[in-house]
Amino acid sequence: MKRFRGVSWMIGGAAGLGINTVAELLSKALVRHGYYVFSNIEYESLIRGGHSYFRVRYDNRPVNSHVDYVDVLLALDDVSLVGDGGEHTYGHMDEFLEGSVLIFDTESSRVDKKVFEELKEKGVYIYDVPMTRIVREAAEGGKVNLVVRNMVGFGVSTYVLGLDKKIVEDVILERFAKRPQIAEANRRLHELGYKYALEHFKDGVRFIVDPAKEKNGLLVATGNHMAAAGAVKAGLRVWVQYPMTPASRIYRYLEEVKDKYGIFLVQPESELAVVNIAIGAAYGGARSGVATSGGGFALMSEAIGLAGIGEIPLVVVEVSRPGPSTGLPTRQEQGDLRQVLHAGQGYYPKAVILPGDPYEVFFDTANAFNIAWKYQMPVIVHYDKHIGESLYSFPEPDQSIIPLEDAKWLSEEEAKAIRESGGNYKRYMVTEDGVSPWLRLGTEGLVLWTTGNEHDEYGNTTEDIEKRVAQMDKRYRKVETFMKELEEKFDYYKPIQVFGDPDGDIAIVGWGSTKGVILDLLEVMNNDGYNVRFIQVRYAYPFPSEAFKKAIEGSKVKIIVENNFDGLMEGLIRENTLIPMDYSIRKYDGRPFSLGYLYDKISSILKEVKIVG
Amino acid sequence: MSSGLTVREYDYKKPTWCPGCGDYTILNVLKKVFASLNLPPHRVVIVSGIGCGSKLPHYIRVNGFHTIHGRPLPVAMGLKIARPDLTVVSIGGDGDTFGIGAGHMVNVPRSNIGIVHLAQNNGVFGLTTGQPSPTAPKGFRGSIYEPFKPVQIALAAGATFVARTWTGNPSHMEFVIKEALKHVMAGYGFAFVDIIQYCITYNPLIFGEPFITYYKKREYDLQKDPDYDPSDIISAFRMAYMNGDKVPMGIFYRDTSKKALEIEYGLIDDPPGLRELKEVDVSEILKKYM
Repeated sequence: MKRFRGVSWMIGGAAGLGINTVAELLSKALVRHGYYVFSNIEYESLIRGGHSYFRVRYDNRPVNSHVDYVDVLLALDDVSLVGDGGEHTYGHMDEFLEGSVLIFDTESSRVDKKVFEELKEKGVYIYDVPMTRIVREAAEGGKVNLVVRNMVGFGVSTYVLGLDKKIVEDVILERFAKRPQIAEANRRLHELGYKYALEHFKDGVRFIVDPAKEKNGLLVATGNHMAAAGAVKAGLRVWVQYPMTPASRIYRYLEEVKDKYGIFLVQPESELAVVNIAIGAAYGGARSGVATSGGGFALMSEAIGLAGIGEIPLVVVEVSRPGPSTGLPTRQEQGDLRQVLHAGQGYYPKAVILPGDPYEVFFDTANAFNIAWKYQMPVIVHYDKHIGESLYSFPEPDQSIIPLEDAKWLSEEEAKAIRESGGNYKRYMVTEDGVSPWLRLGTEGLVLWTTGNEHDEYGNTTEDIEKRVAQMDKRYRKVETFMKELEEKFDYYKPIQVFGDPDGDIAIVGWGSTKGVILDLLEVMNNDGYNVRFIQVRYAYPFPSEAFKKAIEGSKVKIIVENNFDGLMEGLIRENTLIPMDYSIRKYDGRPFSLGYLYDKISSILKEVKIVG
Repeated sequence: MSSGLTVREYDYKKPTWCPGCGDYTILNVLKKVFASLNLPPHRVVIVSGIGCGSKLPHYIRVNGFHTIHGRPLPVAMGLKIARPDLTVVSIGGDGDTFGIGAGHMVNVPRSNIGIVHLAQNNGVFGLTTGQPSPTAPKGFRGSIYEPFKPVQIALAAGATFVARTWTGNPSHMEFVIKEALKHVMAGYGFAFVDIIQYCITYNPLIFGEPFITYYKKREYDLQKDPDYDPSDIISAFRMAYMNGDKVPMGIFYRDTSKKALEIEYGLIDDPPGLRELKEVDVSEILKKYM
């Protein structure tokens, strides 16, 4: 197995053993040390039991992906190590390299002793820590909660990774700040683990990486964190959501800040209600948004069309997981691109934005509201579980670059003129840019008609041939206007981004969450002597055809990487640009691309082709 | 009460309904009620679903939002959250309300949002040529279901105002819809009105009898019963289950002890849809992740 730079740490155990807490705290502590971090979780659709694991990879230079091996494994149960025959897992034993460390509690384990002998022979160091005993002793006869073994294991990890105990303790205390007793109990257990390691493994192997020279003040957050933050940034007023993995947490993050920012949250009976409540609120002038995954989005489709023809600003965040139907509810896939692109019957104007990491989710979600309101149309921000629930480290977004752009409201003078003429307001006035000035509901003496039926300029339903065509064309002109804006402000919206060598012979194309792993791969391939460019597609609609053509021009081998079965982006590129890919790497096992997996795939392709310069 | 508003101010396009349709009655009654409650056109929004009756917003000069089948309730709810200062009337047929939108009918009332929902209940899908609606009797045009029970469901769902009226008695309808709007405007929350009507084309007879004759004979005005107490939900359920010779009409239930959602959560004090769009600094959120 090829080793990549940085350290790969993993915590594994049954759901309910506090896997997430430790991984999140460690990730945060690492960033405070000055490391770059990428952490991703795999879990099952159950509340207690099964097998979950969280990988944390870090280095003193940016890391954006995970690897398939572990340098340090903190296994909280036997299953994490040896598996259960595949019912939940085959265990992570095969992921050790020579010199890896296993942190394990052998005295509360039923794993055959032979396993440890084998591991030792392979060069794995076993740090045997009686985590259960330490927790029991610390309870001093009081009530024992074995979940907190995780903190003992965390303490051992802090030592093995050579981290500053004070920084880690601060992170722990902050996490439980509202419950000081619990905070202190957790800190103490972490300390007990740290001390145990210091006493028993003083001369053992440790993974010590110098932090980046300058403290970088990075954020460590998931895409879902940033969707919430981006929506708030854009002046969110009403948020409506029905729980669905992996989008559910956006609601929780907004709940934490709703009072400060004056946001009204609703969790209604279904996604049908969700989207229609949001449409009603937007019709009433309140910036509203919703989030869901593929199944919920399917239910919303008809109403998104209503927002399209009714010209109502609507922001939908779609965080995908593998389908069809319930599919693999807690896993990863990029299988919803065509669904979000073609939601509902008929044509309507829209934008579909594909952020590639949490930083972009923040930026794109905030902009989604601007675009939705400026163009009075639905805007879909689409990413997946890997972005939604993985922790990325990234610089604090510069909020000042994101403007706050409002709808084109009908002015007082225009309203007055209509009133004085004795006529009615034209909600769907045919204009050059396609955008009709919007009358604020409740304006003295004027009313407006809004409808999902085809309509005339006033919003009266019509079946007239000319009016139908005029309104279809008017609505499409909004997309044309937006396309112009995308071109003019290309560097701002970045519908296409190119990384690496822009003239590289090898062009790797990706979208959404494969951005991270491809970025990390670029560096590895450069070291291998290849000239590679990475083209990231960030808009599915309107599709940035010209920019894409320019970005891929002159490449000798075109490889597209997608986390799905049927090459959705590959088809989209072809239909928009007629450009075929030479190779497609597709993965639909419900898991994201690891750096090693993608490296092996690309390497085997490059063995086949001969690049003639 | 003299308001200075006349029904003429609400006139707009001529409806395309069949001559003799009960929807004309509903339209005329709404205009009268708005005028008598001194609600100028720009302060009222009618949110409708899909079907003959849902075309109503196009025939009246108030704000209108003609949505999609089954969804007037959640759209109206979202609108009222954004603009609690406006009077919001949701209207839909029996398919909208009790069929495809039934999930909203049993949940929106629980929120006690301050809107009126008018269910145009004629037992058929008219626009699609007469298929049985959820309130059609079992056996009607092949329906395999027992009919939906609008009043019982509304009561069970927690509507704080539940009433029934019919298109054969416009003055009764005017009374009921006006009371429903007053309930909402007083801040007591969600009001539901089941409006029984016929479809002159596809469902003109009620169990073989002409619509008007059938209900004239059986109409039982709850408000004329001195012993009936609309604040008692058990009596309301008992009345709702009465059928046969007597069909109770009027206000089954009125609960003035609860606050509407928009009042309970302070939306009315600072309507989200009227708040000025201002730069938002999210540093505090971002700092949490450092």
